[in-house]
Amino acid sequence: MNQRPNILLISIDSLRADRLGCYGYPKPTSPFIDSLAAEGVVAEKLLCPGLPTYPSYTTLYTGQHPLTHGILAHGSDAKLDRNAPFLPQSLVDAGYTTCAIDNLMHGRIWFGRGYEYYIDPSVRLSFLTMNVTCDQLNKRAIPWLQEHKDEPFFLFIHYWDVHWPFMPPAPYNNLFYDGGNPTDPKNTALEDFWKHPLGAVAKETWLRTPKGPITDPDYVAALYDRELRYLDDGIARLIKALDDLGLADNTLVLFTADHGESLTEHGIYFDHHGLYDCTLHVPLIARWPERLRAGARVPQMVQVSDIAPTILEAVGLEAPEAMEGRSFWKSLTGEDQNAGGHSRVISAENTWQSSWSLRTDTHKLILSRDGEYSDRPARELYDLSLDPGEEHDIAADRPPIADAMQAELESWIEERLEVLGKPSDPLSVQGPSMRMTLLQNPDA
Amino acid sequence: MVVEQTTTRQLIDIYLKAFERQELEQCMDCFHSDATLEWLMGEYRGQSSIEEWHKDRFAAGLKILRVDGVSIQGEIATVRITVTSKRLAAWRMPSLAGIVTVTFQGGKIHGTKFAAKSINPQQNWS
Repeated sequence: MNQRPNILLISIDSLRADRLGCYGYPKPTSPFIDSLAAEGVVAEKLLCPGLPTYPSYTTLYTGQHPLTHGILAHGSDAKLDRNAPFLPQSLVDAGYTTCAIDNLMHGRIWFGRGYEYYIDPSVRLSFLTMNVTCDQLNKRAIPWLQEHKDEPFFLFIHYWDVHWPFMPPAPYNNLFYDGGNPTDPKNTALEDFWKHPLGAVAKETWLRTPKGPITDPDYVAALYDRELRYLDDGIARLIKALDDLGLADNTLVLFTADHGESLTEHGIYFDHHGLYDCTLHVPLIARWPERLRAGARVPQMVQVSDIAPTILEAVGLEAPEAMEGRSFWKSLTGEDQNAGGHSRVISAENTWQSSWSLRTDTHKLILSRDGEYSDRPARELYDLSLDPGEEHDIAADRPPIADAMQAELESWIEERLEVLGKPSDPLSVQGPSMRMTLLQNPDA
Repeated sequence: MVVEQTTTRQLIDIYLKAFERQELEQCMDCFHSDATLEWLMGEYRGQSSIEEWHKDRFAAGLKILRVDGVSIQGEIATVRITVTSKRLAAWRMPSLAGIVTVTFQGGKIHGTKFAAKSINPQQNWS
């Protein structure tokens, strides 16, 4: 057995926590993931400081808030500083054999840092790289595990199945939809989606069937759930392979996601923007039978930037000083229930919307920086204890709370900018990158 | 056999030319009444559905930039093409290369499937 524990970091693109049974979803989308949760610890409130994929994975790896690492949007020319801390680099420096089964590096080169092996089965695909399936990734991951089982390894696998386009394989085709006519031409529930550039493309491609375009949003949500059920079977095969190699006791398995998905909530259709909990709240499950308590749950708010320091503490390494996240390892082990928790989580997005949010255990304030591109309120306030779905904006009814939270958020931004030596709020300066170019373009 | 292949090739050429000129009726004349058209991940079945696809593509300014090769084996043709459109340009994809697989029945196109080469839709957003 290796002295250092192995690390298997599984990240699911676009997986919202509340679609898993272990986070309360009533449909059987995740029987295996739920069993993994029962064998390990569940962090109940893991939140994303940045959206979408590039900002969030950069946060995962650097342990930094997006305002610090500077990757705030997809459509920006920002590059990660060469000196930024990077989890795989810390691990390879400590003697780990590091491997990513992923394709992010083809979009942004820094995602390859610190990896001795970078395996991307999606290069074989036609069309979208995010169409790569869990079976295609497992086909590379499982032999890699077998070959490297005697080395301390860090294996990162980035699954894309629940990212659009939702096209589950045939055996899953009849799940999670109660009937009706998914292509009923009289159903106008997706009309707003067709007007969005993502919807316009979807209508003529992955939501186009021989009977016409899908018109029932419940059917599209069922497609998401089917993809999740398919992925659940794939994760089961991966973990079984790990366990069959006798590695379970000496491997920390972490299961998480970069961001969630809005499945029509808040007028956002099958994509991951909007700083609402359907998009910000992602799962985190940790299994390590030797060290972690089966079935335990960590209730406090933690954030994606905390994951890298947590992994480093778990394997006995010191986190680089420039990592801002706080390790919650001791709350996972039960040594210190409060380790790493946050009373405030601040999130930013700058791709389809430019917004900041400040989330406490009871309230969320969302502050728009869309400026001239805005079609949303300048600020929104939700009482999460009474309205967890964030359906009733109370900013106008509760100005004292909204004012206080806005002042706290603005003050945090100002202080951070000063510490970082940045002249101004990048959200205000840059604007929402894809929105500016695509929503204003009638050809999109 | 040679005559049949020439006919198939001629049909492809007629269709490509009609598409380039956005001549809807000429395009539709090339399709069998039960034809199917697969465009990326979407599927269109039957004449009216395929006609709708052509109207949408013409409106989106889809143009064939070049035909990189045509090979024909019996009732199946493989056409390697590169296309562009106003929508692709809006998404910062100046062109899209792919392979069109065409099957024939009764001197008409019975099935056509466009499969693009691998792309990362975010790669040009920098």
